[in-house]
Parts: sequence; C-alpha cells; structure tokens
Amino acid sequence: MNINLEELEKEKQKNFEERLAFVELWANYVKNNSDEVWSEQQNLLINSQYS
Amino acid sequence: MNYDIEKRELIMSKKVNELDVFVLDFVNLLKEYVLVSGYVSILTGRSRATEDIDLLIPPLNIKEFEEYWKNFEKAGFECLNTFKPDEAFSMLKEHAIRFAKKGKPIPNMEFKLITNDVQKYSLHHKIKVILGKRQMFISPFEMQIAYKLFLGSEKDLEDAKHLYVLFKEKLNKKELLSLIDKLDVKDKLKLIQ
Repeated sequence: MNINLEELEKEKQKNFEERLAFVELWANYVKNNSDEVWSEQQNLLINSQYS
Repeated sequence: MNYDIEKRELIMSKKVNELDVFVLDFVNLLKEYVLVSGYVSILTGRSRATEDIDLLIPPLNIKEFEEYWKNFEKAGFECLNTFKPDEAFSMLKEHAIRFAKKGKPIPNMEFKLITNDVQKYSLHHKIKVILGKRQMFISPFEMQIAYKLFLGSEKDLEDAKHLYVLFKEKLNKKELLSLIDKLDVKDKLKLIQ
C-alpha cells in the first residue's frame, strides 16, 4: 500500500474547512429562523442519540 | 432567541429536547452553578449531541455536598464514580465526578469545582437562560468562544464558530478580544470569522 501522507493531510484540512462552512450556514439558519423551527430539526438529531 | 447583553439574559422559545430536560432537571437542584463548554453551543442550536455536560460549582463543604447528594438521589440521579457520598466528596477535590439518571449513563453531568480564574470568570459573568417557565445559567459567550479557541480541537473550533456567527452583532467585542489575548489564541480567531 502506498500512502501519500501529504495528500491525506490536505484532504483532512479540506474536510475541516467544509465542516466550518456548514457550521456557519447552520448558525445563520438558527439566527434567521424562529427557535421553534430550528429546534425541531436539531431535536431530531439530539433525541435520537439518547432514546 | 433574544439575547440582552445588558441584562445578561437569553430568552429562548425552542422546543426542549431530551438533553435540555436532563440539564434542567439537574440544575434545578443546585444553588449556584454555571454550565460551560459544548452544551452552551448545543443549547443555542449547534447541530450535534454530547455524552456529557460540563457544570462548575463554587467550593462547598461535606454537609452541603451531602445535602445535594440526597436531592440528586430523590430526583433519580446517581453518581457514576461511587455509591458513597463521602468518597465522591473526596474525589471532587481532585477531579470532576459524574451524575446520570439511574441506570442510564448517557447523558451525564460532569460536576466540577471551580478552581481557576477562567472558571471564576464564567460564574461571575454568567448568563441567565429563560426557557419557558424554566431557567438555567450558562457561561458568557465571549469566554466560551475564547476558551474553545484555546482548547483548539476541530470540535472546539466548530463550537466557537457557531457562537461567534450566531451572536457576533451582540458580543462585547472589546471583552472578547481581551480574553482572546489573555488566552493567547489570536492566531485562531481568523478560523471562526
């Protein structure tokens, strides 16, 4: 197996930048919608973790 | 949600989830505390869950701790570290101890004594969150953002970014920059802006 660490590192960085972009998108969604609207979506994710 | 920086008050009309209910039920039993770290971001909408919630309390004596212990048990909570309150109290002097609903280790409350100035700052500048008829106290957003930058993992930076984007118009910028400076994380600020 030939692993290119430099390429993996770039991929990791790109992944992180994409996640940060999503965090920004979602934070703006929370900001621009009512608590009832965003929390309904968030609760689907959170409640599924503890049931 | 409506954040009033002067009153240090956040009014929310979100639909509470199982994690919120767990936290509200636990903090209802405490006299003085502040919730810190990841839960602050999650409460305000971050799209992730967590297995533990970080909670800080001022130093207390064994009598006060035993009183808490009785109330935790009555409310259906148990300590995950030990069944003995005196042992738990000794542990608390050294490290955090965890409480969860009986027979259900996740989620759990990481119960920790305040020992340093960052933690004292969080308690003294805490924000009251009003959720319908219930309330809780959380660490100020400026400290949360600065401290998450200091912790520096990808998850921490994402939590910091969430709070920064959500509250950037209402943050005390001077205070934020001062805390960022004190924690020596100026270089990470660009990641969340």
